[in-house]
Amino acid sequence: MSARAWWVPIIWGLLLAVAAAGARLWMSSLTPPLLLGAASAGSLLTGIGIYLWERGRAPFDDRDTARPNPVASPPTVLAAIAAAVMSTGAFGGLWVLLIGVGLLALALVCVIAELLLERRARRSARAVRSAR
Amino acid sequence: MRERPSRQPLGWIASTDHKVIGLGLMAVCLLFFLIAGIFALIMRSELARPGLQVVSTAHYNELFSMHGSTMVFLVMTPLALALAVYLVPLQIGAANLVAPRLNLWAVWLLVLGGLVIYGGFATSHGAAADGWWGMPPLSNESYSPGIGQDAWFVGVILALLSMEILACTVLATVVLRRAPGVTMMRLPIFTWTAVVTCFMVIFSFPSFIAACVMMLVDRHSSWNVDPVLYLHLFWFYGHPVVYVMFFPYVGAVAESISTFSGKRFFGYGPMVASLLGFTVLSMSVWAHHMFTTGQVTNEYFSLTSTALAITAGVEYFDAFGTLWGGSVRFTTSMLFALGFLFQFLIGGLTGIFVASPPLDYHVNDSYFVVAHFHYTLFAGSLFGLFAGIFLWFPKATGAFLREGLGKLQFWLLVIGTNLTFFPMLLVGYDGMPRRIADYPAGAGWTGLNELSTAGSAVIAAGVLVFVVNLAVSLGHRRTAGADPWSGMSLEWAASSPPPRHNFDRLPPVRSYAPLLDLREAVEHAAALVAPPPGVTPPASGSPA
Repeated sequence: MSARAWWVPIIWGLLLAVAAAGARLWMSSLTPPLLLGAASAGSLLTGIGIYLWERGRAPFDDRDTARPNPVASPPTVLAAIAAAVMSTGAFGGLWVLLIGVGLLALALVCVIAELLLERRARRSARAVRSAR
Repeated sequence: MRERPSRQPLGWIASTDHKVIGLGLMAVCLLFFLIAGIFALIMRSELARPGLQVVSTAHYNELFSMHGSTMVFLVMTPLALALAVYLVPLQIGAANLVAPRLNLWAVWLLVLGGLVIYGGFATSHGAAADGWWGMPPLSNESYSPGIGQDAWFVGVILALLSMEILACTVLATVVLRRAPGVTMMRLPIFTWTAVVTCFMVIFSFPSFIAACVMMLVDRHSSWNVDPVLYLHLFWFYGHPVVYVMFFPYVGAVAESISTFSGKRFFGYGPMVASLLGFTVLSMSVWAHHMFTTGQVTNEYFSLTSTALAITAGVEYFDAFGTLWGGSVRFTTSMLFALGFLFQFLIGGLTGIFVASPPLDYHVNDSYFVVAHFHYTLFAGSLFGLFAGIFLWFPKATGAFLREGLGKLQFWLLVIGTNLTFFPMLLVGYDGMPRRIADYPAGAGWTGLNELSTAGSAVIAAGVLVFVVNLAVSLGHRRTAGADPWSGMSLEWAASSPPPRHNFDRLPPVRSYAPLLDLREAVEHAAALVAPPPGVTPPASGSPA
């Protein structure tokens, strides 16, 4: 079983469910059992999601690791700056928010361009390999 | 040919390599740590004597708020995740983290979140001044006017979001990218601590993000947040975060003890079970911070809080079981690991005090609580962090830290932390409230406060020695090989520092200590070939 990972969030979620049930039985306030119950449900759902994902694959399937990683991604840094500027719009005003939205749009376009270039490079590398 | 990380600024700023991201995050956190330390020194200078000598009450409030906020949101929690970002792929035999761009984005969110929080100092009303928890009504527009408090909430949201993303990617990496043979029950202890830490981050941090959003709405509308609801949402995050700032350092201590005892970690299965139980319990204890509100069922939260001693006991038992009969090497890393065990014990035992409602009523909001959590987080977790830094520095940089300077730093920090925080236990038990810039001259607290202030100077000296050690060790490198300590887990199979893709080849993994398995196999093979002691092999060609 331990070649798979799904059982870890399931056990964690079940233990939290016990804690939530104890809280519900012990106290009249709904807030503590709700908070614990929500965390438990989240963990159980994560476990179920991992189980479904792992079910269709052999253990240690390495098809994900085959994807090459980008060396650097400056537009990602720009996207973080954009998100921070957008957030400060909460107290800085609408114009700050709009600057952030503009920066984010620019960053996303650049990230998409990066992804497209990577895909093209992967395809051409594959073509060279198959030609050999 | 080995790939080297780019020396160009862009290589550090925008790299998607988990090692560069992890080291960059650690560097940023250490910078914030130095700033928070300066704030602490100013506060201790102010408290050395009764009366106001160094800062005004208003500035003191800003200082303790920003010290706490920095240490929690920008130092200890992200450092715990930075260790995971750097080490988890190496320990499970992966080439990188899942979603490298998302990791890069998250780290920059944290840096920018920190800058937004600190931006409050540049505003007319100053930075946030109501503690690291932003509790209403103190943090609403009436009592904390100005955008410094808004900036605090926004910066905290960015930092929390960043850590949420990092936790998701680390957990996804463990699920998706384990090398062949690395089953869940063969994960190194550090990776297990990272896994349970990620669970806590993923399922507890959103509650505080929600609370911060609610407070922003509260401050800019006529709607008011119920303080008790805020307390629940805050502490549902605020207690697990203490363990987020603890478990990865427990993992570092476990790896250090195992490596420098020359033994595989004792009681692996019970340790994993205790980590799962410990983290669930730590999610279930938050309202012990609310005993004195009269709004929670004290019995339940007292029971769960006291039960933490059982799971902590298992971890202590396993650590001492590993040391027992081992070939112990007292390196700096090992000293910090042992220091962690002994000093965290004081934090843990005083935690049993505050988990008991009658005792908590007495010491609530006093310096006793300040001493308790500094014993857990500074005297405990920070020692665990240094155990990890001295253990893995050769792996990350290819150079050793100086052992002599490390041992000097260790003893300065041991003396400094106890001199600073033990007197706080006494003045707190005597009734000295926390978050005050001044106290009555006749209260009898002056001598103990002077001791605390002297201790903080010794801590500063210890940190300074560490900074000097970093500079000396990187400037005049003593080269480390791939496995300078005879380590147990996969990261020691990579070169030091590891190439961009981490591994040229991986050894077979048949347990949670694959490198020790290899060494034992070699020794076993050598023993089979060599004759038993005392027996001389016959010379070739001798008569039968």
